[in-house]
Amino acid sequence: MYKKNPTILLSFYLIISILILSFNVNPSIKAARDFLFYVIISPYSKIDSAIFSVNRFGNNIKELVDAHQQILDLKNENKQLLTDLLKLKILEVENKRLTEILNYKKNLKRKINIARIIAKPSQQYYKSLIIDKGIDDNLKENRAVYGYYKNHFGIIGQLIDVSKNTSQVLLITNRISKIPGRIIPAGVDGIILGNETNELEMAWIPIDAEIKIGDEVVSSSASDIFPSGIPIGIIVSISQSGHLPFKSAQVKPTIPAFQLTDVFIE
Amino acid sequence: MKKIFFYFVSISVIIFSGILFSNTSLLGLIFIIFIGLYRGSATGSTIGFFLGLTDGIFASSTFGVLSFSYAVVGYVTGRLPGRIDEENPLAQIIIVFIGVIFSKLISIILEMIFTGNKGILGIGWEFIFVIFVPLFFTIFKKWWLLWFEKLTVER
Repeated sequence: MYKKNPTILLSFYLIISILILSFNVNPSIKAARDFLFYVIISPYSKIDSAIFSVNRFGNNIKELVDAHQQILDLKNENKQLLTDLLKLKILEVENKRLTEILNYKKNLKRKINIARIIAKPSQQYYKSLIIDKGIDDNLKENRAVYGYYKNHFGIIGQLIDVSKNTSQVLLITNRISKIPGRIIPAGVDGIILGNETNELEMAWIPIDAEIKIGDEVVSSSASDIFPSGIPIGIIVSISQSGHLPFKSAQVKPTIPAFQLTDVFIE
Repeated sequence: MKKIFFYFVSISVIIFSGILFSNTSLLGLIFIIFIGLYRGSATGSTIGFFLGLTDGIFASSTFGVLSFSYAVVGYVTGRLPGRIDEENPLAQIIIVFIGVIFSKLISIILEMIFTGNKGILGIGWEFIFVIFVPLFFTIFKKWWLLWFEKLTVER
């Protein structure tokens, strides 16, 4: 019926609307509006809250995964940084050592080669070592070999076997090493013998020579291999040589050869 | 009964989409115009009244303004001459555009009469929706055909 009279229907709706508008400030109309608002909005707020919770849960999981990935990345980065730091420290030590050696070399008036020790077997500590220079670097046998350790420079041995690219150094601590030495300031000469320990023996010191513990032993001018005046060691003890008119002294080498990584060759 | 349920579901969906996505404020009016065009002025004004009443609960306007203006828009669209082709996208856009303006004008006048507030007829960004009216009409048609066998024009 109402379809045939839409105008009446509209009029009805308009009257209701006008009535609502007229009583809009009426508390009962306002209460009805609030009630309808509550009825409609409350399921929505629950849905919205559920959607929000699901979203938050999803975000939390995503954040956890992201954080885990970040931790893994940071760990890897940290590992890499630690490795780099270690490399840098090694390079720093190496750089410092090489700088010291180069600075020392600049002060030397003689022509000096620097060689790297490539073999230092533990059982050969006091006998010999192998360096990475040979005939190709113009090295020859019986050349003096020096070391630099903790701001001290001194003799450590001589070349005995020179091949194309490597050479063997006979250390002064080797039992077969015999080099002439001089005690200063007394100025007396003797023969320095190796005994394959961390000390040398200086023999054939005149019995009346005025020497004492702590005196420095240097190379003697009697040597045709080592130039005179190069430090060899320090006297640590003095003893009599039986009934002969000589005495001997125990000498601690200035340079501990087994501690070196590079040597100087004259 | 099925139709009442259809309209109830449709109005609920439109109202909730309006709450969820505040950008769809014109959706209700487009639906009223669609119903008015296809189902006549009686159905158009009825749907307009109830949708306006429900929409008024959430709208910032005075309660009763939207039910009045939507009912009038639904009625007027149902009274449009039969020669106007409701399937023509351009016609749809123009009718909805005029309907929106008309509805706003009624609302402003009613606000002035009953509350004394001087409203301004603003054409905001929501008018972009008008461009997509053919798309909404297609969706509404599909929605109708999901419930009923056919959609006949009864104006």
